[in-house]
Amino acid sequence: MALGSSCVRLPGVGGWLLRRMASLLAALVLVTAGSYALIDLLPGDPALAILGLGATEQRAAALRTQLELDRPWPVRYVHWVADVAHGDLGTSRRFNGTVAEVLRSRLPRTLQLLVFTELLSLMLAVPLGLWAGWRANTRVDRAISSVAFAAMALPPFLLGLLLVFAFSLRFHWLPSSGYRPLLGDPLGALRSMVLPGFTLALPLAAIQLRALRADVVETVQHDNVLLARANGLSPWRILTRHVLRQSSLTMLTVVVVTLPWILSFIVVVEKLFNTFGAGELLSEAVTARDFLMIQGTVVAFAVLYLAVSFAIEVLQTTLDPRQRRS
Amino acid sequence: MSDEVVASPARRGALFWLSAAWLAVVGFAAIAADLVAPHPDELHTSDAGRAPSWRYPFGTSKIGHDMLARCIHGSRLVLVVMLVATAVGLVVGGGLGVVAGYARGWVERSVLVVVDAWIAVPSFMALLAVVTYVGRDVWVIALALGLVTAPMFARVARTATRAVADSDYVMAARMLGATHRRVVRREVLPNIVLPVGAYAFVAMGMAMLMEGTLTFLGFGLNLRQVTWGALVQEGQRDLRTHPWLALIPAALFFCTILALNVVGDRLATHLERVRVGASRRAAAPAAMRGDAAPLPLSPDAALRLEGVAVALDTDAGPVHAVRGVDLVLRAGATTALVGESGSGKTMLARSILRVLPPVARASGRVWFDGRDLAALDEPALRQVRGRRVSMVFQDPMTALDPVVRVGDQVAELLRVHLGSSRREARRRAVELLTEVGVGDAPRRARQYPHQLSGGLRQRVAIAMALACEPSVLVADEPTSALDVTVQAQILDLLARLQRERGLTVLLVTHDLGIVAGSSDEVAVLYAGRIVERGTTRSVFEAPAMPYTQALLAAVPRLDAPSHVRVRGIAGQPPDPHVVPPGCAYAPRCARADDRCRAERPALSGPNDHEAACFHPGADVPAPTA
Repeated sequence: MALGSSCVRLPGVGGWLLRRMASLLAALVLVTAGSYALIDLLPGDPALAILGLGATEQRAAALRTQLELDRPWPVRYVHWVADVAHGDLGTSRRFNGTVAEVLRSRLPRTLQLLVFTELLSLMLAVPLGLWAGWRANTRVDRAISSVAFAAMALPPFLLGLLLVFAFSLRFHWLPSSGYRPLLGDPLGALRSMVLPGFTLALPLAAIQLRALRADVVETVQHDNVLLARANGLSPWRILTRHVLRQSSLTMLTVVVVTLPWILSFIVVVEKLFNTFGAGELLSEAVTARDFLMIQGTVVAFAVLYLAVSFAIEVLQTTLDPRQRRS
Repeated sequence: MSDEVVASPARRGALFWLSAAWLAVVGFAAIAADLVAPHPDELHTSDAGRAPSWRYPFGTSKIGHDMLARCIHGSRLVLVVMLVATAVGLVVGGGLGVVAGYARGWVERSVLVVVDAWIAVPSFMALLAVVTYVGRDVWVIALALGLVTAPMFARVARTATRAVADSDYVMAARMLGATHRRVVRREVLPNIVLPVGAYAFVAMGMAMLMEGTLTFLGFGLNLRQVTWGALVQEGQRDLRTHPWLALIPAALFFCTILALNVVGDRLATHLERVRVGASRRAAAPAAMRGDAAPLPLSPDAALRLEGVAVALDTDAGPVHAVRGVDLVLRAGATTALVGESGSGKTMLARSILRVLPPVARASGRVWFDGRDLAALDEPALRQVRGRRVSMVFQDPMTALDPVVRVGDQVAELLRVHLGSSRREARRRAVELLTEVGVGDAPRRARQYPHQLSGGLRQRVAIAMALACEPSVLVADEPTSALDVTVQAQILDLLARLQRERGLTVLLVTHDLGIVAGSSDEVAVLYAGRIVERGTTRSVFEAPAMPYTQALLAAVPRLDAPSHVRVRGIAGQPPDPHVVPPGCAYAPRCARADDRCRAERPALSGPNDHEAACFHPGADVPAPTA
């Protein structure tokens, strides 16, 4: 090609993903290995801590053998990693069955809620963020931005309680708990997801909206948007054809960056709304001190996070001609 | 108009002080809890389960606790955990950030890798792991929360440190032999206190939210002492019958986190404003020509500006970019608008089609085709934009949409304005690209802007401007961003198109060198006003106004004897916030007298050459500088 140099892939795009994966993997190892180390480093007998102080010495000894507590933690950790590599996450003590089985039944519920929340949030954040950014520093923008600023300070537990109180307990419009599979009972599934979905989506939308607004404010100042105005295109056309296309790349990055936030608070929301998803599983496992279950759930969430990051990265590369090979 | 103005400082202040006051109230309640509410455990059995009232503003619990007293006592641990956590985050993260920002190199890179990995951990999972394996001691939770906030502290501190470490005074201190320790303590730390301090409030909110959420899930502090989170958790069971038990302490979380965010945000904004400069207020809006009867367009005028003024509302007060300009664009001619950066020439060019930033307020009249464009509403104006009057911008790198093929960008205008079919628009777009000198146009049309050189991109932008055959073209510094050789090509192209199509061109530029060869008339803009205008020949041969003379003297000339030095213009361009009563050039002018400083000269002189000067003339005393 004549313009060889400008067609070269931007440096660091693939590298960025690799670095992110590596750092996430490092974090995963840190958290899981740390859990093993902490059991050993802390005073007290972990077996007794699990069984309670009233447990017999016999049962404690059995548990110690089962959990390999008589061996140093690096050995146990390496064993666990080797098992995980073979797809064996271990057996849960609290829930009957293997960790993998329990996760398989719980994860779809969490995924369903996650996708619903993300869609809901983007449906709120994209139009409002575009509007606020387009009309930056006007009354409209100040109203939208102020509400978003306040919504960011909303603890999900407060929002969840408020929504349950208003829509479920007072008016009986929507169920306050439970799970319905989307394929089996679409309407019931949507109804059951409205309250937990909004509980997560409102603060999430606030974060995404502010990021999008900031990006649009900048994009709108670009000469290409100015030129589009000078060429007589309507605001609607400019926003949908030009600004949104350019800002969607940022929006996708924001989706990735806010994932840890959702994964954190989905634990609360699932507990509040009794959806029996993987988030609730995690809090139950923590209560029961079911170590293998905890580890397994954390790994599952990390893999989910990696998969979504990766998918979005690929999507961005295809959407942005500057990142494509031509 | 006022709704377009940036929020006034007073309004920002009110919310800030309200938030600060709320934080003070919460802090005072926590410290003086034993004095304010001495008996949190006292049971008012006869008043059990009461909704909020004057007597019990937060209501009573089912067994008769005064909830206000419990909330006051509940704030204590919440605040302790929050403060300790933030202090830990500040010390660990802030320390890392300062080291990274100051040391640079591999130290900075490794810190960044750690910080990125750290941020990617869903912090709540990590917290859950900690409370599971370590326990629910106050200090453990505070420490863990501190570690959660640390990476963001590190980022903020690193950015702030880099900014300081790059500054001249730190360079100077280093060169004078100051030790690293001394530089960090004396120069870096004082300068990062504000940004890091502003973030500390946001971090406190985050710590509070996390602590509340942990406690709400039942994994919080394992203590008898009550906390807000424990109250919410306890109260949610009775949400149906006694909603205030859970909702009021939950609302306390919201108010406090919001107040922390507001304070942090305002401190950060304040910081930016301090950097921008002290708030300044202009004395009065720009003086404009009164509402004169609409002047009919003279037959040879394609476009006529009358009393056009543009003011930009900024945090530092209004900036008067254009202060009342009258200008006629002669049909079929090229008029050059010349001025140094900041003279308002770009704002003037943009005010013709009213493509101004949202904070701009424009006034005056723009006569075109028997109508005042300034009085048209947006939909009507869109019929003119790009179709009758179009624009070309300075930087072709940014003027095209990076994610749309260039052919489609040209075709879009044909489809929108002329209603062409998709295929017809595409065919015409290729024709237009060929016409403006894009070689191999069918292939180029399918490429994206980043695949084209700067010169080609500017040709595409010109093709877009000419797509709908406008009669007036406003070219805002069309060649400033290009290489010198490409500049000449683009100017030739514009001249050719102008001749072939009988275009009226307004050529905005700071470069007098290109004016001489490519314009019929010149208008010189200084501080938002036209100070001299006339035919190019007359202005170049006999500049009347000292500013124009200085501008011309500043152009290097190949035909001048080699010992003639290129002269700069002494002094600074005028402050756009201030409207001086007299001639804006007076402070830099060798001929200025008291009258120049007190009274503004109007344009005067023969029709083909006017100047706004009390002392026009050819003879320029050499600037003293």
